[in-house]
Amino acid sequence: MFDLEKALASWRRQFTYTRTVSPADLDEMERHLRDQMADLMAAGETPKAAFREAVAEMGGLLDAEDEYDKVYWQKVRRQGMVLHELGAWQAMLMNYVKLAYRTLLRNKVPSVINIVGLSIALACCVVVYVFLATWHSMDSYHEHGDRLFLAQHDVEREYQVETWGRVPLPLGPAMAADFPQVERTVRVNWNSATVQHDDQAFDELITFVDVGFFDMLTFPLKYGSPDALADPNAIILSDAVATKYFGEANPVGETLVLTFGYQYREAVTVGGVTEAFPSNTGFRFGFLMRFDRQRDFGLTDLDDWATMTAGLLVQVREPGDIETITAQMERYVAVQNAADPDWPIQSFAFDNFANPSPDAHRLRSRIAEAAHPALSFFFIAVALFMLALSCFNYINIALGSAARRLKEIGMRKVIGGNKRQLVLQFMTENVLLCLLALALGIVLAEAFLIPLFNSIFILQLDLTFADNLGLWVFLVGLLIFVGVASGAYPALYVASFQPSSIFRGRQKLADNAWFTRAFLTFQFVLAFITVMLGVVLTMNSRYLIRQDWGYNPEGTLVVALQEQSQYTVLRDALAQHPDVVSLAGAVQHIGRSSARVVHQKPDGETQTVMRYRVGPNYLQTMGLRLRAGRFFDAARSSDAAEAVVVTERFAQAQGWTEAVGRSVRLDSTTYTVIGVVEDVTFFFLARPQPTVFLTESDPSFTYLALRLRDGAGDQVEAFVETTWARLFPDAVLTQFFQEAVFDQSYRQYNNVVQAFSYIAALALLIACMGLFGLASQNIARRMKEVSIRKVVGASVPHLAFLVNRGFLGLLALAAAIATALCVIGLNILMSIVRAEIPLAHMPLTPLPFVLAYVLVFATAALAIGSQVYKLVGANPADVLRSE
Amino acid sequence: MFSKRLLAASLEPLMLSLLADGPKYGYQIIKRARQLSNDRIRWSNSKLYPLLHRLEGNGLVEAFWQASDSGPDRKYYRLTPKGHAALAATKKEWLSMNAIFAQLWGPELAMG
Repeated sequence: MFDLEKALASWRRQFTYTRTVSPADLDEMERHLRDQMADLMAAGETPKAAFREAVAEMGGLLDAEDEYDKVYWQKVRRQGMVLHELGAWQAMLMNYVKLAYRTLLRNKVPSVINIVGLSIALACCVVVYVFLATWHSMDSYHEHGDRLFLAQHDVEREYQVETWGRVPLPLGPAMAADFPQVERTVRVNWNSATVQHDDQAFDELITFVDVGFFDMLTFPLKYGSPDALADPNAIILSDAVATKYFGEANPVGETLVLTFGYQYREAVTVGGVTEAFPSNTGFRFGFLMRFDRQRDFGLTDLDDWATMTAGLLVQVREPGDIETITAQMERYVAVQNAADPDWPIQSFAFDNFANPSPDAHRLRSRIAEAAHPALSFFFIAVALFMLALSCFNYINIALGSAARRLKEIGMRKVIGGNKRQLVLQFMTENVLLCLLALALGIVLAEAFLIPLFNSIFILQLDLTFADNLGLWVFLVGLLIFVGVASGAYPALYVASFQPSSIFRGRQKLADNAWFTRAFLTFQFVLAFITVMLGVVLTMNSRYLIRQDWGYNPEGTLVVALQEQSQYTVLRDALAQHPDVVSLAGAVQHIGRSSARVVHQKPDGETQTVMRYRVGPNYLQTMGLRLRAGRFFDAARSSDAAEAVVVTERFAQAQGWTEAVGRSVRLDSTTYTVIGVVEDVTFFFLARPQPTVFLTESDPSFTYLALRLRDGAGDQVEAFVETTWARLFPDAVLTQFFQEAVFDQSYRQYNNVVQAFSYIAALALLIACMGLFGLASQNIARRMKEVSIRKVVGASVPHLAFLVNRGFLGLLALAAAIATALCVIGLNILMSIVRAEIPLAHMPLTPLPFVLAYVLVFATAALAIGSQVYKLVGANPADVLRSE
Repeated sequence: MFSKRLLAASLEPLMLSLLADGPKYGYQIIKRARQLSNDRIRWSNSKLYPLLHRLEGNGLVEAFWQASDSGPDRKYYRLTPKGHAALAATKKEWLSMNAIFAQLWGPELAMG
């Protein structure tokens, strides 16, 4: 029999937890239902039907709630209930946080996996943010940044327009004189010098700038005054340089001795020291001197339009002035073209110094480092990739652990929790977890990733929280993004379960097994790809160092000379040593320097080729390989005037089959080819160029190369040191083994490889954490089944296989997909690289792939193995009883 | 039936007018509106009560509980002086709008 009072009470109950509908409102609505029912029953309806119709007309629960919400909030605003409301929110939030905390503690393993996995990804994001913020704000901190412009010019060379940052020496003063809009111009130039203080001496780069420098670029000074720049005998040091020479003491007034080009020697006084440069400083310097002091150090004519200075900074009065000026730069083009017809500038242009155009990195010889979009893109990709991996982990594990929380979800729904509240609860848990991960991530970034980055790259990063609004905004945004990206799907999915099916035990998570598996497969595809690329790149870097450079760099010691007179003295002294097989001088040395010369072909065409001026037995000493003809012969005095040795590539470029005996016109002098040598790679990753070797009769050598007996490197090195100290006690010795020539560029390449290996390791770690989480849940779910199998006699290896064979198949699938993608990708990459650089890679073999498989499978086995151990140890009796 | 927009625009003036001749409770208001409109105005209860509460919040209407013979107390609503003023203002508005339509559609309007 229908009981009206019971039905009404139950109807009222659904509003119990709805704060916005007050009991009085409910009284009113209930009275309404009663009135309406009375009318309906009078019209002949049964009480039950009348109740249903009246309730239906009352509107759905949510419908009513929304409407009441609106009125409620109006009341809140009007009656100053805001505080009360906030209190209610806070209480609810605290409750959610408490629940979240308990859930985290209860599910330790999945929580730790989630937090650690996410924190690694978040640490990467933080580092990438700091990198991008630094990289894209290069030199932006100078006060007059919007009015500072860097001059550049276009020039056509070999049918290609190139853009250079160098400008003719007199351009700056000319502009300052011609344009009233120009407030000041500052030229920048560099020269290397040996800097001595007491008994220390280093080779350094001296920066020459015009006197207005500190009015233009607002570098604060730590010691001294910027006015010191006007003093011709003063030098201003950077903080780093001051520490290097003088430690922490104030060096103002101290003396440094500078030697330029081994002949100009001068004592200067320290006039000031800058504060340490911020990390986003693209224009850096160590030593600053007045620009016109260069007159005393070899650059005599500062008014020569044919000579370039490294850079020109122009400060205009209004930012818009630069367009007017650029439009009138034509006048200088003619002057420059007349002075230097070999470098015909087409046009001058300007780019803002503090906020350069995205193409600034294309500018050749820009005085300040500029952001390269490729690098930014690479780092963003890495961060997103890590984030994707760990978010997938989170989703997988959250869905898995939802199985354990089914009853909780059911209970919450039954006692009146609606979907919105459940979603909110799960999202709070998730945000809390992300917050923990973010905190850990920041610690990871500060403690490991940033030091790692700084040790690999030249750009130095610095994580500061004070006065760094951008970073805070980024962190909050990151937290929200990760919280939603990783938490939304599991929360919505779990909150939509029906309590009835949960309690009947019909709610299965099996529906999304394919989803979980697809995620895990995807993760492992990514992990496999990064590991494979890491292995390929590492092996390639080892391969590169063993490359054939066209000569023999082993057992070759090279001394860089400072003065011409040193050559003969040192050669005679070193030739005495029994371990020196041969020795030779050179003006240009392989891997260190090169010159170019114009080759006039018989048909009138010209071609620029590399030229090395070397001593007669240099080619033998360096171990170049002869293909035809002979090397230079010291005994033939005619060699110096008319003999040339060419490389195979040079011969090929002329279309010669037989080169020896042919004539070659170089810079209007005719030489005869006496020998052909194999192609030589002069610089790391550079394609061999057509090259000619000429020999010198009157030695103005700057290098002395020694070929040593095997294993005698250390003795000879020490011998050179003592000999040098005896012969030239005042000069600084620079000697190196030829293998070190590629070191610096090789190191840069290797740094990229190293960075990649770290990324691969992190990707593998995150993927395996995901695997670990899933394997543990899988085993937990199947404990009962496994125990029964154990009881009836299944062996542990068999069980381990049975439980994990799904993962095995999945890993194999991931390996197959990743291998296919890698092979295709690497082949495309190699076909691009091969066209540019013939030496850049080794042939693709299965070895790196096998290594990657072993590495990934071994790590995965470790992750799963720990769970199998749990399975072995479990006593079937305990498991079955507890169920 | 009326269009949704017309219903929305007329909701508040109608409500004030319905309360003009004395206090009423929610169910009564709905019934009266249905009678007057020949069933063409059927407010859902989830719209009616929030509106009444809003008007109450704005001070146009005041509510009071009154005992009833047929069951629990009923909540009655009546116009406040401010509500009467609002009704007068809205009446003026509608009448002048009506006058315009009367000039335009005179004969039809007379036919109703």
